[in-house]
Amino acid sequence: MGVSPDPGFCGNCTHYAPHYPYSFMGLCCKTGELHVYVEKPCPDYAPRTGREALKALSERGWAYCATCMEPIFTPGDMETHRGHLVVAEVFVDEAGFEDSPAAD
Amino acid sequence: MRSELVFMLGGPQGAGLETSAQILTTSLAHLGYGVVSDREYHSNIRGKHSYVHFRASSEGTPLALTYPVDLLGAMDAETVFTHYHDLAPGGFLVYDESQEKARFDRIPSMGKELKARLRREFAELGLDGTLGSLARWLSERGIRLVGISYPDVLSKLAEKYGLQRAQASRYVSSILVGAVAGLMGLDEDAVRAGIERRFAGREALVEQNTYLASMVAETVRRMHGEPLRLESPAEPPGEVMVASGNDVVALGKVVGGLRFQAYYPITPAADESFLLERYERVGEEASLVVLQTEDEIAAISSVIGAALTGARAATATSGPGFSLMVEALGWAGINEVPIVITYYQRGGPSTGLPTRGSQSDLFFTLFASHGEFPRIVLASGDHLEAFRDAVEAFNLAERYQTPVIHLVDKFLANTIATMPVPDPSGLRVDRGLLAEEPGEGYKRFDLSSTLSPRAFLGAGPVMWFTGDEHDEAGHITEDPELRAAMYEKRMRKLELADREIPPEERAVLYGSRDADILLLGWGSVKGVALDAARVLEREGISVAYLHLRILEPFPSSHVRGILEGFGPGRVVAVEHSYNAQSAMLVALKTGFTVGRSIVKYTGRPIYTNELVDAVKRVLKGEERVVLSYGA
Repeated sequence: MGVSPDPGFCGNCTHYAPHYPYSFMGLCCKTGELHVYVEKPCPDYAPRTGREALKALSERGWAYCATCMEPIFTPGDMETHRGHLVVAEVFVDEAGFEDSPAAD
Repeated sequence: MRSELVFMLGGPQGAGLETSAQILTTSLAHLGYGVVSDREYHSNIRGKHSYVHFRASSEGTPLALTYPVDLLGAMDAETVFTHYHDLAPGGFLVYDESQEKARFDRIPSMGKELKARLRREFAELGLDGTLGSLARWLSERGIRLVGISYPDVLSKLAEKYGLQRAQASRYVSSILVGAVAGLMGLDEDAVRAGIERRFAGREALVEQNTYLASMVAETVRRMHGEPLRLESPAEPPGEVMVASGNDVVALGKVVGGLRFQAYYPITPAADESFLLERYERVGEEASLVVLQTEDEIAAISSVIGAALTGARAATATSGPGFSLMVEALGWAGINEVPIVITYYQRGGPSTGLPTRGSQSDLFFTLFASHGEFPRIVLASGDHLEAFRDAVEAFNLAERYQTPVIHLVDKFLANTIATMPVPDPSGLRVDRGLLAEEPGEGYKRFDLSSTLSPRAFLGAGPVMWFTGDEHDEAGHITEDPELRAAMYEKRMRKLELADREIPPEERAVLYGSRDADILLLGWGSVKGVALDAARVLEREGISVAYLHLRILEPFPSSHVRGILEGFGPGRVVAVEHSYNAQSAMLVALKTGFTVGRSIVKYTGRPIYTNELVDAVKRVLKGEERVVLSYGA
């Protein structure tokens, strides 16, 4: 369920942390607000360059591929996600546990 | 209008599915419909595909689930790819049309086995692998598409209210609730009641989700009408409750006087203890202590300790947890400690299928632990039975001073159903034989009678308990005569139980002794067997069902009498296992050979439609039918 990287929209903005697992929603890390990516671009829009994810990977040890819905831990893995929506942040809402039956 | 609707909602685990299911079940119950729904979920906690399968009826609570479904509500593309086969001709598909370009082979959460099957299917059908092409193919074959752009709907909600970040996935839940409500023509107040129950005390969420569901319902109604509207309920439902199997066992334990429950979290048992924790209170009348221990060994050991002090004490676990409890079970056996173990069966061996169902642990419970000692094993067939059995388990444990294993299976545990509020007036608490003012000479294991009056630790006399064989006071002995006397005293308790518990309550016959065929089962097989019998009856095939409720002590002569009336060729064991263990147990206890079986071991429940087909195959001569339907 990857986000269409429409230029100018949230989906292509460096501030946008896609929601897991509904990546058509996401958190704006600039404003702290939840958005739907089809909204119009805003004044805070900053196009994603890919460098944010690389920086997160080197400084923090992980980035996230919203296309594959999985974390990336090494520069080598980053290569296998070329062309995917790779982001520095992913947004997991707090409601998940209430919808998750115990499973172990 | 119709009297019944079968539908399914699917989506990623932990992403709002549970919310949709609870809201819709509550809403339908609010309107007086009977509902049963089974949650099938993956064990990875979040992300993998899960679904809830519903059956709603205007004629009371349905007995079981069946296929095909009249409506499939999809939170994501994976749901459509996984369940498109399940749709009935003319059925409805609700999906996110903004995902039409999604391809099955690029869905990361989908298993490679399913992808391989879809690759073959889609190649044969000439589909390009996208959701859009599958939707068009379905439409050409009479499936009615209800395409909704989920992002567009959420944008409208965002314009009006903004979006609460903490509850993001819940909004998708309400889109599906709205779509189902629209197609069924559900009353808006009933839907709101369901939403209010789910989001109790969170007014903003109630407001937003009600708005969202209403908006979607209105749009769907405008485009498609209300083609899935149910007839008005046949009878006023009276006071009903909506509960899972876990819930009703917890409630039954409270009504039965539970004072101490210890557990280690495990699927599908933990939800029972989580609910009990909400009723926990200490230092008041009717105190209840719920203790999460470091493992199952500690759980059962603390339950034994609590029971020795006189508290009604229980634990709840599933296969792997019970494996750890086995040694302590024997300790409770030799010390005649009345404990209750609620055993929720899941798919084994080892970790197996943690979130899927099974009935393959029957023999394990009957023979667990070394040595011989009495235990009572009972198994519940439906929600009401599970409630009553949770009460009865304590009575049996204390009356016969022995461990009681209460078997529930995952299908029952995770099935949410409407049910009448149980009437507790007919229930009683039987604490068994208690010592009156036990003094210095008190002997816990007094040999003068089969049941020695119980006294409680901390309430007067000093008592001794050990894992070794013991004398009347509890001191270790290896004297052969004393050993034999104590051994026989323990074993006689089971003979006593066998004499005292009415056999008709232990094995219940539904239907006529003159029926064409007799289905033999236990646990959650009850619902689907009775439902299949109803369907087959309409086709001119009469089916009876023998429900084994208490499996130890086994009501041998009662069961033998019924089975011999049918003869080996007309008795069919139905079970969620490979071996049909109930048939083996019957052979062991009665000498009667059950020659035919219908089994399922995929971890999914037996559905009415497949059991009906299987019975017909047996009537045509097949001796063993293996079922496998369900994703």
